Amino acid sequence: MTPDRAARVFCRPAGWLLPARFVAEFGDELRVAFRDRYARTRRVGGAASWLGFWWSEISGLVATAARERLRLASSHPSFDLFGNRSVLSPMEVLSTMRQDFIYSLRMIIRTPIVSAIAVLSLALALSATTAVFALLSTWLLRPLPYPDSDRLVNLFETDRNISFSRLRVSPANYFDFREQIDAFEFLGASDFRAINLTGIEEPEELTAARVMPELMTQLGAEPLMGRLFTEREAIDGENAVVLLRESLWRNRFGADPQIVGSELLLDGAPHTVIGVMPETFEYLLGTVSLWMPSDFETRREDRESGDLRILGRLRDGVTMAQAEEQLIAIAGRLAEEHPDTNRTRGVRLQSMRDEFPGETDTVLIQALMLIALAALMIACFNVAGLYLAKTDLRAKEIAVRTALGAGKGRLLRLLLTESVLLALVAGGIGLVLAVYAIRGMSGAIPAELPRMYAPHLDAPVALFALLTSAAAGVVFGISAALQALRSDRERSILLETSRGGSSTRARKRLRAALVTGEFALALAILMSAGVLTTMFGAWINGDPGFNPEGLLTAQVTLPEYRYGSDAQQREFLHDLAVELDAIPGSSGWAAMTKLPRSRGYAQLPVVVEGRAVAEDDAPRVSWSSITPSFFSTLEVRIRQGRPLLETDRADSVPVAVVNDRFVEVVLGGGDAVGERILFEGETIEIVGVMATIADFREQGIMPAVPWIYRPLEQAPARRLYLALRTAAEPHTLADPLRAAVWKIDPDQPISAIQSLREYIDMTLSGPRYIGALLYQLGFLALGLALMGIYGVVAFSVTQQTREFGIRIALGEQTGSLLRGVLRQGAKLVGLGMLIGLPLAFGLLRLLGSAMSSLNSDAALRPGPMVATLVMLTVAAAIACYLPARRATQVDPVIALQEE
Amino acid sequence: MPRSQMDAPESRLPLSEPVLQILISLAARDLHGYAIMREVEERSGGRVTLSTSTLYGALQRMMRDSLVERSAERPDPASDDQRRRYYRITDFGRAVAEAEAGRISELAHLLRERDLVTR
Repeated sequence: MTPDRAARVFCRPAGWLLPARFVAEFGDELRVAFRDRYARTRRVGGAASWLGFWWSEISGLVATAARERLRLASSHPSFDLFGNRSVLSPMEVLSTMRQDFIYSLRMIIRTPIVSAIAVLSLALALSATTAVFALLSTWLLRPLPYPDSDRLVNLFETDRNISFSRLRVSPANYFDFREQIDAFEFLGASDFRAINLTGIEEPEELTAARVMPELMTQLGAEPLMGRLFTEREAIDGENAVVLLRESLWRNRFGADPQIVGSELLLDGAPHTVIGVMPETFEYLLGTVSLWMPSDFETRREDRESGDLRILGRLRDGVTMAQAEEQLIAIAGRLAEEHPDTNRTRGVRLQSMRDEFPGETDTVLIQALMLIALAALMIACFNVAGLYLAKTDLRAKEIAVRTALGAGKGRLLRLLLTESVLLALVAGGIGLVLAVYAIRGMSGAIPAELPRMYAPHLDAPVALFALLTSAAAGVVFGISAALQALRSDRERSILLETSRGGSSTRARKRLRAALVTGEFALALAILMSAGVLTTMFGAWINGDPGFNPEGLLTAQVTLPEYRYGSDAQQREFLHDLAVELDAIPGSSGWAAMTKLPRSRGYAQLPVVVEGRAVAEDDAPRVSWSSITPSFFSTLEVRIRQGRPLLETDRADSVPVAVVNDRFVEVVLGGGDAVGERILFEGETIEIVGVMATIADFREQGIMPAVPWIYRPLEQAPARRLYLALRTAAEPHTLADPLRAAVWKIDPDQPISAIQSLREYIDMTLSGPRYIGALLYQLGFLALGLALMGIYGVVAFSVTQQTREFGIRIALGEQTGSLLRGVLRQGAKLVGLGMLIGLPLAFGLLRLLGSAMSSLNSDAALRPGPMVATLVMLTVAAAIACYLPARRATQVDPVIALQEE
Repeated sequence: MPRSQMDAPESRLPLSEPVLQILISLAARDLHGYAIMREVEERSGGRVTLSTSTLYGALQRMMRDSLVERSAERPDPASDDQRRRYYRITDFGRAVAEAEAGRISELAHLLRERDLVTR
């Protein structure tokens, strides 16, 4: 925090605590002095001086505020501590506060059921709010765990021809940026690579990050043991050293304390372990197991391959926009100097803070927070309703107190103390519940996210819980208390209260308004929950375009040092085919470069032969290389033409199969077979069209993507996914699969062995989780609203017992009585829905407009909305019917005796 | 003349630690708030630290009692933040400090007499 900001942050609560006159006289000076002292503490640094600083500032503030207020109160006896007119001395005020507290406690205990219901509903709503806030705080509010993280930025390239706007940077461009710009204190590179750990029992493919040594220092890295890289070790030839991640060290090396100094075989070359990095050091999404040093100097001339991830630290005082302006100017020059590679290239910066969560996640989480707060509001309304009822019962007591001279403010304070106390108890319980909710959330966080994004309970979250519960107490307390007090003017001690004077009617109206509000909110919440989950559902359960059951998948990345050439890759594939065909229990296998239903990929432009299109306007498509067995193994439907065949070899005509969507988007419908396309510098003939395989991330939300499938023989690759089909449980094939691969190459690692179903489930856990959370919140809201309406109807039935008795005695049919009561409930619910519907639409519009990728048809489908309305109506009818039935069972004799 | 200035300086005694420290700081020259805090902290070797709220609470009381006043002049206009205000000790403030010194030395004398101080 900058000193100026810190001073602003500190002076706000100081302004509330200190008397207004004091603030007017010294506020500005106080802020300046605080800023200067903060700045000096920052220069000195160290936990002890920070602790001393905050302790003295906070305790000094509290002591001064108390002293000044006491002085003010004692020198002006007509004001109390809160600046209200009062005739009490400060000591008397303290003693009444204690009295209020004890009295409130007694009142809470005296009506255990009302208190329990109030506490429970508040606790539930508070736990939900707190849990969602924990997520929000972790994802959106907490600073990243790097020194001065607000100056850290990611540098990406963009390309007019590629829709993905966060491209990695080519080494030559990186060096040009670094050497021509002065906006950065530091601009460092890193890249990811798969690396094979061999020479031990089971070879394993690991993800390694190659980094410039200073990059780790910039991120505040500190090794668990050993040391970080030196600058010298970044030089090619000196860089056979490696840092292990803690989990790798524990799982693969049994936490060997002697690990530093030992040697590992990585991609066949010996590397010396120089240290172990703690699990908490995280940079880049994805799980890096190893760090290796590099200065990337050997690739200084490489402008072709964009694979560097660039991290920059802005100079103090330089804004991101200024830096970006400089970069764009350089990129413009590079485009002129190197048109072959850079003509369509641009550059952009992104604050590291914005890397995760993305826009959609941010909106979703804010929507969740909004919904949780609405649920909390329902709970408050509910409890306020309960307390109104209770206040009716206490009307006499309040009247007596007023008659004996209790002031309005005193009574208000008394009632507020009770509600705040109750809410704090609820907050405590809610916090305990929230601990479990947060633990559940942490467990459901997708595995590829760094753990720093797992929500947990910390001081700000606990503080939030405390403040919201206090605020909730004030909200429901004030609404009930004001009502109670307003009516006192019109009431004498002697007047019977339950007969229903004008005050009771006013109170009834308020309760009705509260229930109406609850229903409106519940409707809005449930409806958005319904729509969002339907959307997620469409994307989870939609037709995948292939059969995902009974498939075991695994990943094999062939190391470059062994399989660098196309011929070597083809040979591996041939050997693999022999081994996999021989596995018993498997009815087929396929290899592919991209797993179906996995995340959105980068797309490249494609040009149809004979159709003139400017290159920049060319449609973009995703692509995968596959074995011909892909179609039979995955059970993909061929719509037109033929699948790929074994006869499509390296030396035959380049061919491809495209999906439905390709025909629609690229060819504009019609007959695709026989069309020739230009893709990645090759002319390819389309021989068939297949059903579109759904990309789960987009299905139901974004239109499907056009795909090209080419034979692996013609477009070989080193990173392969294998899929084996079996009628048995897929994992029974895991061992035979490993054995088959190791028979060809005992040093070849196989990773990510799982069934395709597991893979899909895992990657869908995020949306599923959010959907479930939404529904939980929705049902919580519904439950609370139903409790509210039940309470209102039941209460009015009890109040009208005498009236019902008379009406029954006069011969009225119970059916008409029942209808009368139900009509009363229906009015509330109907009004609630009338208000709730526009509210729900507003909320959905908000969600829709913020999620720009959202398919609005999917968002506003009538099905889930109607379902929500029906469900809400039925539930409300039941909640009204139960108490209403009691009215019909009134015995007139007993009812008339009651008064 | 404000009422309190007609009072005897002795009526203000004893002084609280912050008040006394502020008077000592301002005895040499006029200072602004933060400078007082630093002066006090450095002079006492870190034994006494004033928080900003404590400082301005004390300054307010001292102004009310006419021990200090706001100084109109700003000694160093070049490097000065507009919002800073400088404080100056009043004659009455000096008198009170002197009275406090008398009180303390009397106390010290007493302590020595009863052998509670060996030196």
